[in-house]
Amino acid sequence: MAMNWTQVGKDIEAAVISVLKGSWSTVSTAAGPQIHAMISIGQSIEQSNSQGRLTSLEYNTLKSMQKNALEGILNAYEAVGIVVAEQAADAAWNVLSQALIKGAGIAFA
Amino acid sequence: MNTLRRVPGKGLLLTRLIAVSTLGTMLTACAPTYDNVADQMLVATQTQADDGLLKLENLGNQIDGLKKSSSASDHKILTDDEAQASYASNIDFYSKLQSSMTALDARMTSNPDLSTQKITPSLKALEDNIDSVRQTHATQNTVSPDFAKLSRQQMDQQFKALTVYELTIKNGNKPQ
Repeated sequence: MAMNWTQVGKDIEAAVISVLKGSWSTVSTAAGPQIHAMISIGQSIEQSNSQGRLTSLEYNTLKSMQKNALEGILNAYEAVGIVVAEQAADAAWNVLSQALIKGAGIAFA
Repeated sequence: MNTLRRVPGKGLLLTRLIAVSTLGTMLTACAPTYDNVADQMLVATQTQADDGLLKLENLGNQIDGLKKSSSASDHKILTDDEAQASYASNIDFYSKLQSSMTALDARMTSNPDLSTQKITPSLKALEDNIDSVRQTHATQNTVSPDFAKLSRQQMDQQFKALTVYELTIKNGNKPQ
């Protein structure tokens, strides 16, 4: 089943906004495009993996890096606290993993 | 004078109050100062990471292509490429990159303005990701071209976040 990445992107943004709340309006101009870029990279990771172009270690490393990177990007903004950035990254990751489990049947930790 | 003589600590107390008040005003009023050296170090470190990972991506693609060939000359090139893509041949790249990140971290967080401490987790996340790539390469002794490419793209986004921070300061604004 083909993934609707546009919808996944919207759902991830909604999940991040629900955690960041008022801070989102402060950081959205700068952080928004970067979050979308991270989602796009997440999509590429899945495509490479489904084509057998990544080892399982590489796939797991990239997934871990993805979450770490999103958290790091959000942390660059003074309006976003360290704990909130971590929660927002977790929320984004949960949406992505749920979408992958439902859409592609991939076991995704 | 008589009053000060009767209460010896009063003058000292006044001096301290003025000092604390001045320090408080300074801390709340000043925005981070743009640091040209930190900006240049950031660009240089990103270039260093991009160069190393692009080299691994290109070698990986070449190796994949050469593996399909039965020519003896291609086999020799394949052996050379595999040696260049091995972890042992890239230890220097990772060590120099991690050293650059340590120096960048020190420089970017040394600004006396308290808001610069906010970027410490961002720098740490980038350092951790570089180390993750290094550990994966060390474990497998090689990395796939897709892994090198996707690692580079992720790191570029992290470098971009730090660049936005630097440019915000350069434009005279306080980072959000």
